[in-house]
Amino acid sequence: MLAVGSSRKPVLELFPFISLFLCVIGVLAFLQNLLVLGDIGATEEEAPQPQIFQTAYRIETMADRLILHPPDVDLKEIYQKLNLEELAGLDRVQANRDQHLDSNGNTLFFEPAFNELALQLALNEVSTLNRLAKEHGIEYEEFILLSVHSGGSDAYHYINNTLDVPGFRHIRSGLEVAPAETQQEQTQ
Amino acid sequence: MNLDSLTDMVSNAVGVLILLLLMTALQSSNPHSDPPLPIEHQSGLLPKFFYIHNNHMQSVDVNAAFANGLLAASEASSEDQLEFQISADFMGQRHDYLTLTMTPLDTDNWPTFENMTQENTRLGKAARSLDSDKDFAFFFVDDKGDGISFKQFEKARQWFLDRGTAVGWIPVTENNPAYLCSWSNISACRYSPSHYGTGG
Repeated sequence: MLAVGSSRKPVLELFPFISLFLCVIGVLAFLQNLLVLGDIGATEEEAPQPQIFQTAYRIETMADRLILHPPDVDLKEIYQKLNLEELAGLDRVQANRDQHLDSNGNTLFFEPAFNELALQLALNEVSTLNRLAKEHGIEYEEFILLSVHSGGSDAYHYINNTLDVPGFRHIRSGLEVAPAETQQEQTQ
Repeated sequence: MNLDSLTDMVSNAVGVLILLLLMTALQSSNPHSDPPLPIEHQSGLLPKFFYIHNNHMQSVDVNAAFANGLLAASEASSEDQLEFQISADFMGQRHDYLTLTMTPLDTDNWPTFENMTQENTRLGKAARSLDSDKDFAFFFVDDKGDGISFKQFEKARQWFLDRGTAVGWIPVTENNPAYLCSWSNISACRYSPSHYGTGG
């Protein structure tokens, strides 16, 4: 019979303690390794072929208008290596873009008169920023992402032809069905 | 060594490792928050053409199209490929390359996306004949302003992407129809697949 109020404490042997301790650590370390290895594998599979720091200047094309969405980036932060003269030009681009970011894009209607100059200005900005990045070895490149709404295909071809001139031909472009179209389709 | 110190050591070690595990798991569960962006790029892959018109789609037999185009250019007629009306123009300074303009015909009898997913259909066989290491699927998507063709294209594109095949596309309209060129540097005849990267 066990004595009530016995002061005898349980004795722990060193070897079982270490074996238990190492076992727990080993299992947890193994689980962590599995997670890390799985993550590396997934990253390798998802990696796009040409790895460039590309940023989208998105242009929505619709039947009656274009909407220009400049990238929401801090150009001064990216282009720190520029000289004063170049930085002044950069300020103008940033100010112009900030104005359109606040108003959720620069909308250019085709009727009654299309503001072709605004489109040319936007493409010029992209061209200039890409040139400066190349000259100063900055790993940054903007590309034109044409986001086509149904009915906006002729406008897509218009921009595509505008890009097909020597001054703009180096600008990469991408093409997507406008996300709004996809969402609209999904709700139907 | 008593039981209290053992409990302390084990619980401390386990706690730290559980925290590390949680941090790793949280990091790996959200690797990219941006949606993928399609960027067109030059590729050594060869385009295999498909045409989407509303709910219908068709593979394009390029050899038959050029045979018909040459016959059309010489004002003869051919019935090799009945799905498209082909008109042909000799372009270039020396008129040394041929540009075909394709207009879809009798589209109500064309197969649908569901037919493409079936192995025993002509469209299904054409879609499955693409070798992902050599070919990519290029779609002409007829934009009638109602979004139906776009919806079909999204389904078809996903089907090819799931099979590891690259996809490119161009929207076409009455004013900007589908072109096939024997050789050309004009933008309407550059066929590029898109790769999916992330951007800002």
